Amino acid sequence: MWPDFPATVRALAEAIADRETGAAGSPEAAAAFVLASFRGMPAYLRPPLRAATLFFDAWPAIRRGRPFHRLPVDLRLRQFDAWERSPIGPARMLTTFFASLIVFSLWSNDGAHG
Amino acid sequence: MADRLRTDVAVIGSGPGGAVTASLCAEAGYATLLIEDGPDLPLEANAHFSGDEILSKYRNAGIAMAFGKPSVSFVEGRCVGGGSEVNRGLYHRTPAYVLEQWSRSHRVDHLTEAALAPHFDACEQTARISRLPGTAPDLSQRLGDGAARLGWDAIAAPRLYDYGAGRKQSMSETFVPRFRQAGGRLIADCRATRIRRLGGKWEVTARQGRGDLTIEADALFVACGAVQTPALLRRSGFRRNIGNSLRFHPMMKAVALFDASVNRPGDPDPVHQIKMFEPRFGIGCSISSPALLALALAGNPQMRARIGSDAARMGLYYVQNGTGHARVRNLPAMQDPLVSIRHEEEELDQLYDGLKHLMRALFAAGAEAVQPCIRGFPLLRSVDEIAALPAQPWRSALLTSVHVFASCPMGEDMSLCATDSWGRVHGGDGLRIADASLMCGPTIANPQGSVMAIAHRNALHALERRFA
Repeated sequence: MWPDFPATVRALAEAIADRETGAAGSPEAAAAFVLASFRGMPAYLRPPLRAATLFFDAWPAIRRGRPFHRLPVDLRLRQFDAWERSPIGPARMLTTFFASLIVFSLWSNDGAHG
Repeated sequence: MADRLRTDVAVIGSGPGGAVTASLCAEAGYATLLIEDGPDLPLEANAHFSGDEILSKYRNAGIAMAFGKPSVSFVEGRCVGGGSEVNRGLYHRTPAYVLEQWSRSHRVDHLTEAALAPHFDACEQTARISRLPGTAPDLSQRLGDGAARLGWDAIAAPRLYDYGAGRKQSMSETFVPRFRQAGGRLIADCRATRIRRLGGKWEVTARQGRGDLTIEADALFVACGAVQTPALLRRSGFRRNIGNSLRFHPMMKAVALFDASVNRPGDPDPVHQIKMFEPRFGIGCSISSPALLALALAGNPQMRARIGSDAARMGLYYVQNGTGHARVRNLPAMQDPLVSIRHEEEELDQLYDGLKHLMRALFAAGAEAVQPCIRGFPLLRSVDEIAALPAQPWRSALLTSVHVFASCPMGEDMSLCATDSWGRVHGGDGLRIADASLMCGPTIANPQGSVMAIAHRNALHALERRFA
């Protein structure tokens, strides 16, 4: 029930995969790609990103009694969409970071173009 | 107890600058050691522009940021061959007007088009340049057609590519084998952490795997790239004009949806560019795989939703200029430096104007719709809608760059330059820089050719003087 970074990444990948019609990649592979990217990113970026992600995970706990990674997919997407449109810069940056890596991975199993 | 190696010449970094420099030193008969932070992987180890390639050949898994308003997300190579392994290899010699500008602004000696030409010639004999045989892919040709309809000039750029063999002319295919053939020794997965002058020699402290390595060299070239070179030098106590003037070629992108198929699996990489507006901005085509389309459209769900059905009709295009002046600073106990950037409003306006020019060209080329890759921006259905775009996109825009340079510029102006006109660090007792850090400003095109030619010029200068 506690905020959980890898579980949040997996939950995000599942939710975004659900709305990404036609993408052949798996949410498991997308989550693995995000976690590998996180391990490789500059060390000074990792603590704030982890903290922001855990805050994002904990956000629905007060209203819905469980963290993001335990919500059904439709409620996860609703929260993600709200944060994507947020007037608060760091909220938008967080969703941009995850959406970019996840959609890149989800569309990566589609043969060689260009 | 650290392992200890002794060599005549040590070169830190195996990208285009380091590989060229190390080859010339080895061929001149010096025992030369080339160390590389990243792994030694063959060119075909991963599919180009794939997630696996990003994780194995890019620094920091492709995640690096220059923080500012707007921030610039940038990528660098981190493997044997450096950036040449992961870029597209589009090739340009440094334009004469750029060299004249650098000579004036930074007082660089002997840096004319004529003086640099033999060095370009020499590099191009090893890393071969060629033009796409036959017709360019439709995605590329469309940009040329759109430009022509607007009365603009477009070119099909040459590449560091052997079209006969189907292989890119990266450093791992060209100068690194030449270096090894000359007897040079390369150590991959070896990160230089500090350098110092000791007893008339250079001492490099490095981490290799879990062990420490100490390298003692008579001559030392630092070629770790435009972010890591100033980070290493500053950590080692060299700070004069080091890391104060980092530059990028920040890009904005747009995706066009055409009336017919333009983007087929297996097509050659696109090569068309519109260069007539440089240095205000330059325009070109990007690799347009579904994954890279999706990445560019991460903030634009309406167009992204069409990738599944219409990727073959979609093309990704960019505009870039030289906006932004950045600084590189180390953080306590951190391996990676912090990069911060500030922009001049005029340069940002020029970039945004360039995006509008790009979109005009795409509509002129027959695009049914064009999506500027800026979060929240509308999908445009006609050229007339460009006029209704917001005057300032910078709240939502994140710029990206694949070119990083000019953090330790060369020249005789002691108030601006980190090195002299030949890459010798001012006050550095013969320490030399040999990478994109030496450039004095933007070229608005892939700088790899410039980096190689300047490294060739400076390495010969060093060899003639026996590294004095």
